Amino acid sequence: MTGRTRTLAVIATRLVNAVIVLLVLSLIIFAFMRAIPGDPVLNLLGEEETTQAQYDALRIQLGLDQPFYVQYWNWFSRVLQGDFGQSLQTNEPVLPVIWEKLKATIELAIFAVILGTIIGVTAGTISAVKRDSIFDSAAMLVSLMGISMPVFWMGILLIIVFSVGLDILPVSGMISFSTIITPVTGFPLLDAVLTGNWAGVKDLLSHLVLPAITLGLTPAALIARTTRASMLEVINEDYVKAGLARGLTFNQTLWRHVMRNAMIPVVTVIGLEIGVYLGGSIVTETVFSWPGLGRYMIDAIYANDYPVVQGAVLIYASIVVLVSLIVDLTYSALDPRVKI
Amino acid sequence: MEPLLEVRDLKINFYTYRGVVKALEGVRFSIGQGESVGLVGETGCGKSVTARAIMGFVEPPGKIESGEILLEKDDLLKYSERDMRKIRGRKISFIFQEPKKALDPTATVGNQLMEAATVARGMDRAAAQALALETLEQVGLGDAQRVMQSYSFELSGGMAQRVMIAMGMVGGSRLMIADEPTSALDVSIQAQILRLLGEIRSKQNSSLLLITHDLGVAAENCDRIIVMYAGRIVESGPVREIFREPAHPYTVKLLNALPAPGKTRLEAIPGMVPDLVDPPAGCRFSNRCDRASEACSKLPPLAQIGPDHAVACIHPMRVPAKAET
Repeated sequence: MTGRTRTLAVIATRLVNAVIVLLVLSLIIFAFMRAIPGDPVLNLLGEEETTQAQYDALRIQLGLDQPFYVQYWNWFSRVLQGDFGQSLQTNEPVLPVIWEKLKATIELAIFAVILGTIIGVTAGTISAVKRDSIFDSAAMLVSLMGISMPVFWMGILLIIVFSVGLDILPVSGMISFSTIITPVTGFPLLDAVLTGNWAGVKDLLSHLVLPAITLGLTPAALIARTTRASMLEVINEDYVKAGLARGLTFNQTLWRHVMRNAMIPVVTVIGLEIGVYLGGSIVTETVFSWPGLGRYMIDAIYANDYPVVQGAVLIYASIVVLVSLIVDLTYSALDPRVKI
Repeated sequence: MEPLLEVRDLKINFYTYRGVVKALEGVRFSIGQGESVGLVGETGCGKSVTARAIMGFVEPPGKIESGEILLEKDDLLKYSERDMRKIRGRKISFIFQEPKKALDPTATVGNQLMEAATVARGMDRAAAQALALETLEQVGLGDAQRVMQSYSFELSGGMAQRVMIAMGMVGGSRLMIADEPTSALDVSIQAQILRLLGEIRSKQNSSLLLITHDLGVAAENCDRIIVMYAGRIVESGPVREIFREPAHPYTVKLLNALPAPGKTRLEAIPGMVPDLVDPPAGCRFSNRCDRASEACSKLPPLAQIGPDHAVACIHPMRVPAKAET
């Protein structure tokens, strides 16, 4: 097999695995939603002044009287056709709403990943190069705090300091009421940049800073520690000495030979952290009232809005599966020994 | 012979938690232009530290306390890291014990060979590529194009060591330091690599400092041998003299430990290498030496016993011809 067909074969295998994962997951979440307390029919009708006849009628209308496997099959066969059903609360189709909310989440997550990776890799690299310096000790202390602090607490702390205390950043939300963005792609920040709406960009960024830091800091801390450990290991390798021995400077050796090798474990950590990012995004969105998928899903869980929760979980899971596939493909780009 | 490299009274300590390890004390030797010198001794005797010191690779907790390392009369120990960079690769090249570990696993051989010419010496890419290909052929790697595109994991140990030798040649160095260059290779490959080192040396009239624990390897490939024990030079001289008329009891015992036809038993040296945190006063071999006496608690100087033969022993096997010259 040539490299290209082999790569395609690997991707195909991974996709088949992904489908199985998603299938099992959809079954679990479908069952769990029905196991948790609360009744969507009662949520809609209200507990007072509802007759049994009204209750039964709505229950049949929503299909909730059917046996579990019939309900699952009805839902799942439609999902395969791209129809995630309607929200029990609003009667809106689930998928378009999820897609709209997801755009806000993606914007937040991308910034958090970039922020977390840049802060983590930079701090880890400086720590490793200036080992046992004051910077190293301070960075490792801060990163330990970063790993230990719960996301929600971190978010609230940042709000208290920067929004309430210093009053330089907005408390919550994604955009000010006065700011209007002309939609192009539906991603507000991207649209603002595309339409040259710089006041809008500034407003959106000021809203984005705190949630992105909140979400990016825990992964940044872990990435910093991994980078440091990995760099220290690589710096002691013979091939780094060999680089110096053929006349490279330390910095040239660092960029040309240490970085790439040291990044291999870091990429693993970044890949593993994707789940942390998404989990954290749900908490962050709740703390900062960010109009993303996480907050939408939390509200839906409270309202026992089955189709919304099922759809959101499925989308989250698909993102994790997809990103880990991309991370695996990144390995072969970094490390020639990994052929996929 | 005008020396290319001269090491004078080199003293290196390592500051560890256990105490100060006196790794190297009063080491002095020289290497002439085109000469091949073997630095021989057992593990921990300071031969690798000596090599690394010449390259400027002594890092904390190690510290060069005193001495001079003169390359063409310039003291390298006075050089800044910036200046050392112009020496490494261009004047002195270094060959590592484990060639596959000395190559970046994520970079091609070509990338690393060429950067020795482009990044380190400012050569343009095309010239660097031509030079790299030519050098690979000179070290006996016929399919140079393919080797250029290979990664270290695709090479055998012998091929990788040839690449490392080529790396030293690309820089145009006149002194090659080879730190146990064949210890990690198959026996059948060892001889090939050593022969290659010899060929290149005679073709380019460059010098070789061969560091090895194997007296046999040094004998076959060197003009002169320096025997080290516990951080000091105990004897140095031409290969022939060292083998025929060893003067230091340690050298004698090392030779007795070499296998030879008809020998049924190899002699081991009793005792252990002294702890260099607290080495014996005077001769460091005295506690394992059967010729040792009271007088050995005073440090024996490295005394000439022949035109090019020196020994540091109060009771040498051969009587010094004259007092120290």
